[in-house]
Amino acid sequence: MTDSQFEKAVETYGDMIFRVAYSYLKNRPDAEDVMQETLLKLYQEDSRFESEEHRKRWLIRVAVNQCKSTLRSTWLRRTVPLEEQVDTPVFDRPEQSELFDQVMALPKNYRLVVYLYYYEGYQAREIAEILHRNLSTVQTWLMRARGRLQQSLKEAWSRNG
Amino acid sequence: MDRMLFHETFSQLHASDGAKQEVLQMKENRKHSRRRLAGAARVAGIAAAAMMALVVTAGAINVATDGAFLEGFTILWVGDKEFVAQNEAGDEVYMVSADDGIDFVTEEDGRLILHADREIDITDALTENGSYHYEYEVTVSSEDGREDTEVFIVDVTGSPEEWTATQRNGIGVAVTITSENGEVSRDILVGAEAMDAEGAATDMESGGKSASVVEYQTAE
Repeated sequence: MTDSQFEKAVETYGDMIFRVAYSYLKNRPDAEDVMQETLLKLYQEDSRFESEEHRKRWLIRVAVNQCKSTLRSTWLRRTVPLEEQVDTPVFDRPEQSELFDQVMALPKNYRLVVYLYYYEGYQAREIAEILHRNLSTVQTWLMRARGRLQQSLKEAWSRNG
Repeated sequence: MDRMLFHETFSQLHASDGAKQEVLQMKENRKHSRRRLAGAARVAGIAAAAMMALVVTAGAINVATDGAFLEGFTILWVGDKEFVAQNEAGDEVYMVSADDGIDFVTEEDGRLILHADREIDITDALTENGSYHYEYEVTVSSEDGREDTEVFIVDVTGSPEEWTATQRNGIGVAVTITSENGEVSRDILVGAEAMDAEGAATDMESGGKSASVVEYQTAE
């Protein structure tokens, strides 16, 4: 990969990889590390991609694996939390903030599939292929995530008037 | 759910320009990488635990640290639930198991108790079915203040007298306790195999690291 091709890849996929990683890790520094490591793996990858879509799916898969490695290295560091962490973007509207908070309150696998489905526009079958999961598993995660989000958002929005 | 709202919301989530610029530099020379062992902590005062050292030949900690520990390492126990993995260069990774401990299944007064989000007497279920399955969610807090929800999956098979219990935490760590002839042994499995219960694939595209078993014992 040439320097200019790599620069273009950073521009094209940097935010996408970051969002995938943030959805999984809920943490900006680690998500940026994952973005960088994933892009460096792309830089070092010799194999040719059949298409941009093939490259994108490869990047998502590598990013998710990188996220798992990050989590493994912090295996169950279970201590009393410090001050409530504030590491979220500032949103234009309250409903955006509420949606973000509720998505981030889901278990990580749910967050990931919800992101891939609603933001990246992948169907459940495609998500299952990308993540190497059973279709039924992905469908279950999506269904449970939707159910939880509907309930929690309904409560939050009625609470806020 | 409103897909448009979702798109508007998550489109405001960007990597910083600094991180993007940095990766352009990092490709020139990876020695400039700011990558670190996420969450790794330097642990002092482990000398007292040195006598409890167990040399482990498997590469589980390599997996746990994404290959950062490329050589042999030693496990130093610093408590019932805490240990430090230390490589020859002196780098250390500090790990703590969940508050409810490694022994998530115990025998108490002839009953078999599963310690999950609550205590469950699984004696009768195991007698009747020969297996018991339970899932529960755990909020995991890191020292840096992060919190996340993990789904723990517990499977127990056998009889109340001789049984095997496995707890998978969803991030590639499985703990197995086996009770046989009155002896209790424990294993930790780290890596892709530990995630089999979730149907996870191996990490082929990230360099593929095989699962490894660390056999361990707690200090007397």
